Amino acid sequence: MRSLVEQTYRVAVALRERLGLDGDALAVRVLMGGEAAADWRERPEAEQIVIGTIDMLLSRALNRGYGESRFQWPVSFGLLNADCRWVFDEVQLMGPARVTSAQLDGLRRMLGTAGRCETIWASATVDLEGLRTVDRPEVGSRLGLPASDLAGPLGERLHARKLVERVDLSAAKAVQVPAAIARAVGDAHAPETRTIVVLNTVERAIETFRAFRGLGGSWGLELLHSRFRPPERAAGLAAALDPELPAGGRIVVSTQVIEAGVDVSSALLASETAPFSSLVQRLGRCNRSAEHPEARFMWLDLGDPRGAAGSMAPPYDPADLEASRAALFELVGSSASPETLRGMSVVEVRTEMAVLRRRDLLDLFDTGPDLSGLDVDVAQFIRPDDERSVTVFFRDLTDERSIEMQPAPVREELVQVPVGDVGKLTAYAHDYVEGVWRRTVRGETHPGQTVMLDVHAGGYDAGLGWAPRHAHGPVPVLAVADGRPPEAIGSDDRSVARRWVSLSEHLADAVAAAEALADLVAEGDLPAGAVAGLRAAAALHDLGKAHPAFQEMLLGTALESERAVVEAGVWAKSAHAGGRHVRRHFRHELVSALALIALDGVPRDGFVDGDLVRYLVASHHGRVRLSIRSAPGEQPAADGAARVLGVQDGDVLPGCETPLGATPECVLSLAAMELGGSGTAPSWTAAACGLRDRADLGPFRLAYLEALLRIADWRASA
Amino acid sequence: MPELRLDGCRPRPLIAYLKTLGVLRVVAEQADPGAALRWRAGAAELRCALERDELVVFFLERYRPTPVLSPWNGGSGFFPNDDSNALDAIESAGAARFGVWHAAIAVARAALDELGLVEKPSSETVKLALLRGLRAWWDDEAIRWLDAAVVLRADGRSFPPLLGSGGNDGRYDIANNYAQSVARALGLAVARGPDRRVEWLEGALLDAPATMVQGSLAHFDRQKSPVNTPEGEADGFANPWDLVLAVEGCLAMSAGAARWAARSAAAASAPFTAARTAAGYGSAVPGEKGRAELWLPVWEAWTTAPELDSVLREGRAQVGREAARSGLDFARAAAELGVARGISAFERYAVLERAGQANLALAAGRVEVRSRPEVHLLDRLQHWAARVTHYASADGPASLRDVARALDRAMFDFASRPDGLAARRLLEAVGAAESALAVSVESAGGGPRPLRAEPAQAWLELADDASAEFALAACLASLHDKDRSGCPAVRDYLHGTTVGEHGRVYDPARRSFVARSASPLRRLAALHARRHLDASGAGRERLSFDFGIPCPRGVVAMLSAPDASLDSERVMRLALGLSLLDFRAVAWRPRADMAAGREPQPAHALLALAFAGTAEVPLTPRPGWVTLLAAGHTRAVLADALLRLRMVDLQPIPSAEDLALGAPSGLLLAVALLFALSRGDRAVLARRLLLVADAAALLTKTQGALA
Repeated sequence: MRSLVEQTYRVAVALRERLGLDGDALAVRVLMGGEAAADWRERPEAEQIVIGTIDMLLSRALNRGYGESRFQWPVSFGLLNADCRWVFDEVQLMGPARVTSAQLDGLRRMLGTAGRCETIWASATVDLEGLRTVDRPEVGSRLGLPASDLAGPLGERLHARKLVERVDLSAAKAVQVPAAIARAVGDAHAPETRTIVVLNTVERAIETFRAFRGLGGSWGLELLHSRFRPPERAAGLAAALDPELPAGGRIVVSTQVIEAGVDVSSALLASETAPFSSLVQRLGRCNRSAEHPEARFMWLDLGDPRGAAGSMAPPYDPADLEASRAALFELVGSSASPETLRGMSVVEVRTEMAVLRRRDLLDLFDTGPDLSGLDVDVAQFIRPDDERSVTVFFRDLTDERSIEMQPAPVREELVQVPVGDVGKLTAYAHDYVEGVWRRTVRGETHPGQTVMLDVHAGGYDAGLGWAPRHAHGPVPVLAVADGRPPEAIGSDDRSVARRWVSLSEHLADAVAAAEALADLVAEGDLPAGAVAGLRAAAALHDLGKAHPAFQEMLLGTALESERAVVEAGVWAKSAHAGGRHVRRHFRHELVSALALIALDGVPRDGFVDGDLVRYLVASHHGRVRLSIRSAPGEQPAADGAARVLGVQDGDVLPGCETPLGATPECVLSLAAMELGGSGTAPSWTAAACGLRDRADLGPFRLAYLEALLRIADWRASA
Repeated sequence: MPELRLDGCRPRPLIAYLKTLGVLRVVAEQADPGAALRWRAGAAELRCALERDELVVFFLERYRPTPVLSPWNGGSGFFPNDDSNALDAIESAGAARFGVWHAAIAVARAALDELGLVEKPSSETVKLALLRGLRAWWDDEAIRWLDAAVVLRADGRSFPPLLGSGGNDGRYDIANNYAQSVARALGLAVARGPDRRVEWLEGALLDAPATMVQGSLAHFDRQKSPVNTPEGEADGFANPWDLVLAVEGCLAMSAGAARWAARSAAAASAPFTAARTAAGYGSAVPGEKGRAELWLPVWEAWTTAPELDSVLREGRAQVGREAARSGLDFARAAAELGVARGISAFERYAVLERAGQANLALAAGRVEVRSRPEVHLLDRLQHWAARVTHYASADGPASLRDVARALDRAMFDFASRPDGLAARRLLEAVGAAESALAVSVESAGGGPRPLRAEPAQAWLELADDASAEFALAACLASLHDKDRSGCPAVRDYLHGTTVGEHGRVYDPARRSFVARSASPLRRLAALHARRHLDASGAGRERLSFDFGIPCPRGVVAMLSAPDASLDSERVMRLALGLSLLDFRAVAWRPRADMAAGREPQPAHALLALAFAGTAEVPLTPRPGWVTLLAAGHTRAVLADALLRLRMVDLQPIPSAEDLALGAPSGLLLAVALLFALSRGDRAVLARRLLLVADAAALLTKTQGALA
């Protein structure tokens, strides 16, 4: 599916140019996991087109972004469920994501969003009933091609000839199939033309590709599947699409990735039996614009999917293959033009899939760790069972001491592979508590996780992609810019600036940034008082940085020459990195929130919605949200005092200057984290759940406000 | 706001606890969103806008029961052979309060039709399709039941133990019985006799006297095992509101769907549900097996329904950095405060499955949430214990299984109440397990390895009961050799282990060195003799031992004094456990006042000097002495010892004959001499039993003075 992402990106940029717009007026961004330099989230006020795979985008819309730090999840969630239009292409390939996208659309309407959110589903072979769900009972309006579009070049395409012939491979054993395919297709391939072979699994595609290699023809040979790193995938795709063909022609061996809208054509298309809707897509890659009068479709019939060939049926339902096969038998000897196919109706099995319900979404709003300690798995709402994948990247880990502090991966390094392939390997996952890479427990890798592998363990080959059965040599390492390890509970990278920034200056900057962002919120998009709450939260968000523990940490970074000046002030940011907290996991935003509880609405200006202000303040680093919980393994203070995220019951926070006036000194209490609260005030969780469940706020609008405050903070820290 | 004490809502039995959750949920969702509940003095208290009488009117007239339907179960009322009276009564009730229920019935019937089901689905695929279809199309209210009864995962389904196997208890379908109780409680069914609706409700909520009706509350109220009763379980009598409210309460006990997706263990699929730890309750009834444990939270501050829901759905119980999985883990989490703050205790229930697949929920006590830092002593022990349990249940002989179960129990008791007694029991259980493993684990096989030594200090401080037995066991366990001569450690002699190239392993060859079937005294004497043999075999000149902890002479005296009431079995049991600890850097000493005034028998004392000498003249025993003593040749050894002392100019006052008179048995001496005395103690004995080296000079001096 990624090849489509790249192609769509190029088309979107070309369209933007035709409109005479530049990247400032309309940004086009690809979202692929891994930290990107220019982040799509940083300019919510700008028009932009964000392109990504189902995995990447839908996981973010569910607050569990794949390849994204857990502390960043709420930002993406807030932005992707506010003021944006979703377009899903190729609905028939979406699996559970189809239902999830429809339910999300219904739930957004039920729970309310900031700004309009609409969804458009695009498909050549759409099953409208499949878009009807319990919370979105109406199918919605339908856009189709007008008759005028069917004349001219499109009309020619619709009647493009694709002669169907059957290659009987039913006698071949599974291990012989790739070689048999290579022989049959190699014989039929004509020089100076492109031949495309589509297989149903990556494994079979790799085997077939190797079989072609073994034949040693004069053709150019390319392999396309989803398990390549971006640079290698881009190179493979460019070669496959290259209109200049070598004299011997080109053979492209591909998986389903080619089904989804890749604009490429062939004189000969060979394919296994696939569900009918997939076949229609595959056939679209043959004689696409009627340029080959002799174009052929070679049906590679592996036999009866209910019988001997059953073992080769996955990932598809044998019933679907059987229905398709019956239809193909009818087509043999005739042309499978789009027009012919349109007249055929092949019923596909509709499997019951996991449906995202309101209570599931409300659960997902909470980003605290799962009770099993693992990150929550949203794969069931996104991918069919057999496509569950993890993201891997390779590093040279010969020096064992370098393992823990490996920098976060960048997008170029990432490749998605089946979760089952990784279970047996020595892999490292990032431990967000300690901020280091740790060896994973075998068999406990779960979909959506990002894991690091050693280049010496093999598994990946630049030509074959992820192929653990064939790639045994060291994996070529991509040049990685020096970076930091991923975020941990205690990390505070944004507390480092180019110069020393005082707390009052930073708070004022944040208010200005929040006001600029608040301007983009249209009247009526958010409840009354929400914008004022956002502003107040910006003015107070870093109050907790006045805590002696935080000031001490900053002071520790001061040069000798700066010491006198630094000691005299209260700072938000140091000019130097490397500060270390004496109290492990210390979170200043928790101090800010507890101070606002202790101060009970002082300063008063702008404090219309105390619960909202406190929630936004606490959540501005994505660590303290619906509940206040100690970090796993966090111990009480030496004197036995309760300690949570480095904050202790009875800590004193000095008064400080804020854009809303001076705050007095206050004593922090952790009573808010008790079940039932302190007796006089409700507990933190009760108040936060109240905001989430409020009819005029709800999870989507609350997360949007959360995102806006965080973006304002980023800008004030820039 | 009115505060109402609900005497019918208590933490025990299970039905009463669940009922309490049900009351809070229903009142908060349907009457007063601000309603809050707390536990106080053994019962629940409800704070809401409704006065007592208004609450009764609310439940009888306005309460909309949550739809509870199990069309995947036989007996659910959906199939021809089922009793469908209750379902019919609900379906034909016109009141708006059943609207959601009616819709859910319609969706269920449509789903059954679509799958062509006229009887309960038998194939797993069809059942899954039905469940997925219902979860896709039922109303938000109706899927609460489904989520509580069945956990749907990508690869199948599992059943939270609270609701049996998907909402049934054997042949008892909870949904159908709930519908029946709703019909009765709300007066939908044609009732014979007087109208008891108010009476039942007040009985359920306030524990007011109420006439019961025929009916069963299944395992929610089944506390005793009916397995042994020959007639089985007869239809009992029950209050219909009890079941209605308890089922409403069960709906609060479902883990968030988003949370369980990553998990596979059935026990972990519901909040506060743990794998069974066979401790703290008798499970001796044959034909019963434990399914799981429920750890139901109790709190003391006013808590609202959404907050409680959030805590239950999070179900956080954490030990160190791990999520609690077993009952033992939960006990540890309660001691390490690894649970949401404000939970003051857990009511523990063991869900047992009896023959015939019906369950019972046994109240297994209450575990307070309180900081018990001593519980950290279990941190590393638990990994070993887990391997032992696993090995015992997979490959082990029955005896090993018993030992493993005892270990499990001792760990659980320690986690719940880590006092000295629990610590000693745990040490004994650990020792017994190590010993049992040594005879059943082949080192080449994949069984557990010997326990790795933990620092002894904290254990000693906690477990010391100031008894002579403990002091002796600890001193014995502290034996080590400063020169690392290659002699086995005490634990190796006691258990049968050896230190090989890759660390310590169980060693079948070592087993026979010190026969474990012999009496503790015989074993200790044999250990002593064996140790001398090994030391001389290793070419060591000194055969005496270095102890981490010297034993006060008064305590050692207990060994050789025939009148002392010393429990040598207990010394051995404790030593088996204590010897597995690491005694380096131990500051603990036996209490000084212990056995004060008691002195070693003269024969014992003199032999002790011959074994170790004095500060000025250190000695070491002859190789054969211990063997001779153990064989009863006390007199010969005494004679030899006196000779030896004289040879180094230490002049014993008593003669061998004097000493032999009234000397303890050779066996006792062989054991007693295993324990080295401190220099100070030896100095005291030397002053009593030896002529001072310059005694002659002293004598002359004294005589001169007298003259």
